[in-house]
Amino acid sequence: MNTQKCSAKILILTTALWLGLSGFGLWVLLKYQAAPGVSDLPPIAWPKESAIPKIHGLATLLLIAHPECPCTAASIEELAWIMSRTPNKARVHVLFFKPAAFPKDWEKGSLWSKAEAIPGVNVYCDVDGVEAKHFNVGTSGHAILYDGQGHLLFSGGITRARGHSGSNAGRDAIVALLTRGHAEYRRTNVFGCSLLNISNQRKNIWNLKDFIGMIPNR
Amino acid sequence: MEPERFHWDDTQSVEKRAAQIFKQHAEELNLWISQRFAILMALQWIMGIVFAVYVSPQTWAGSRSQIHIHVYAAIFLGGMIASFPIFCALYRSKHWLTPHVIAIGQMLASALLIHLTGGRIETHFHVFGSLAFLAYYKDWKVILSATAVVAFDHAFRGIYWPESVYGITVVQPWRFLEHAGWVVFEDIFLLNSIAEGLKDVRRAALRQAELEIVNSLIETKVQERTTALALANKKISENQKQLTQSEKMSAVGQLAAGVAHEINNPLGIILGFAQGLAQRLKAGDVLEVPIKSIEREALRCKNLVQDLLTFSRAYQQNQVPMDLNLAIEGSLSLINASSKMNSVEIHKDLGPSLPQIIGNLNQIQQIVINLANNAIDAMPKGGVLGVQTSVQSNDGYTWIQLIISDTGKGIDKEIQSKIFDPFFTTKPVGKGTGLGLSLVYDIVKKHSGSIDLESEPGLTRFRIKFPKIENL
Repeated sequence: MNTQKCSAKILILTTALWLGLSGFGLWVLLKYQAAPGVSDLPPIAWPKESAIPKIHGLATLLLIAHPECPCTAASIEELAWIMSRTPNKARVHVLFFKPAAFPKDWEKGSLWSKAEAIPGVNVYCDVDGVEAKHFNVGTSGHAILYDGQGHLLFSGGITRARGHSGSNAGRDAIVALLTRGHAEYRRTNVFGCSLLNISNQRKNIWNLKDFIGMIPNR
Repeated sequence: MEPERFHWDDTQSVEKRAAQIFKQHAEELNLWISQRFAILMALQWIMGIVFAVYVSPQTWAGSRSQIHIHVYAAIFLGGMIASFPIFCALYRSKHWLTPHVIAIGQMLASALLIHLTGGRIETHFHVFGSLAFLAYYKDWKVILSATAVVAFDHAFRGIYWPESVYGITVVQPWRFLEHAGWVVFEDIFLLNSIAEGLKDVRRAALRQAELEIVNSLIETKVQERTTALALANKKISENQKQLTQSEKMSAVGQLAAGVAHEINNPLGIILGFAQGLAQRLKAGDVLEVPIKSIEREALRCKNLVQDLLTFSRAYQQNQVPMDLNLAIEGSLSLINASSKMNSVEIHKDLGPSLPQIIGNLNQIQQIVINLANNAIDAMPKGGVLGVQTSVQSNDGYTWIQLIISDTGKGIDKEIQSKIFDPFFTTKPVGKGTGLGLSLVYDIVKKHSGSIDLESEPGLTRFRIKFPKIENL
């Protein structure tokens, strides 16, 4: 009987330990997925040095992306959702980052194909992120909306977390701006891989000390 | 493995047995479900790894890449989430905690898969499917454990990372209830289904308990009847043996009577003439030896014929109520001389107030004389001849017992089964006819009695049982 009681206690303790470790693991994962990347404010007026065509009188929506970033697949899905609700309301460009040294057509992967398949979307290659730098963008999945006069209307991500599609503030804001002219949010967090050769996390999630210190992130 | 057979006893109620069956069913069901969850969780783990490696193998920083955290999470976190429930399912399947560990583990696996698939709505169906599978446990507490994990996950993330759940950064604290509410919505149907399922199982357990008890009673009855039938068959077999023996003895008796009758007359003439010639012989006559031999052998033949006639008459005597002790006393007086000559001491232990038996005096005396003579022959160097009578009873049946014993050399086990056969004898040629014990056997059977023998070197005991008059 004592052995059974002892065995039951060990099982309960092991369950608690397992639950704690699993919870911690999920917490780490959540922390990673909810950690936004760098999203500095783009120029408030359309940069003249940009080679992207801008039609006066028509809003322009830019989505700057890394062609291999798994998280950006959700941003492309959200762009398609926006396009389905705002037809002909803006000229839309998706710029895929490509290091100059990388082979030809490296950027033309599955994300390129998905973006190209969206009606009304123009897809470009952004060698060495020249255009990304013009717009002050450092994170894949960063969307920027300028009005017909070239004034900045919105800057931020259009996903709720890294690689998470679904209803989110950025997507709803763009739709609202293009359809009603105003939105609840003008800036949102951007979730995606870095376009630069540095970690784009505001804090390094692999540093446990920093990691624990950044909760909550609101 | 063959299931253990149930044997009902009077102290066990139908409800108690039904409860046992219900518990046994629940344990078997839990084991079955837990084993399948173990397989499912292992597959989910593998599936998570495959998915992570395929969909998000690397994370990028400009032109540099490294293995994505999803791959590590799928391997290590997925392995940790799956391994402990699998261990519990395989090695602690009967512990009350195991279904809860599996339920929690399955919900954690759902959470991991949802993360790995980018929070897709489609993957959320894993939660609902898992809940339906967990309902197989038929335990509302297990559903509650799983639901608590879902509710806690949404509440926790809603508080600390609302954007990852709701897409906006500011939400009301109760918002997690909207998500958990759909799980509760499913729970309502599952719990109702569990309640109805449990009712069905309890009803089935009660029916099985009733059937088992009825079967057990029938089985007991069948066993009783089988035992009774076996006893009856044994009795029939014994009776058939006795009948066969009686028929054999009767045939032998008729043959003996016929032979004796045919031989008796010429033998009388032979003996008469031999004795007449013997009286007229003078001393030293050359015919003295042959004629005396004829007379002696004719006398032997006469004794043999007399024995045969006695044997044949065993089936023709009338039986009346009689005192066994008196018959014994009469018989012993006839063998007193013989016993003294052979240095045999007679020990009598005749039970007082012995009930009467139905018998034939001459035949009873014949039994005693034959057995006593055999006993004296078995003790050539002297010994003790015991004669004992008593009343015995067992299991409501009473009988009069006669034991005749001797301290002779005993009867070999090999021939004990043959000693009652006619003409079987171990005595030297000319000493015995082999009819003495056959006669005893027949007389005993004729008196509705039984005879058995116990013998070992130094002690031989014939036990004869006569029924009481009331039992006849």
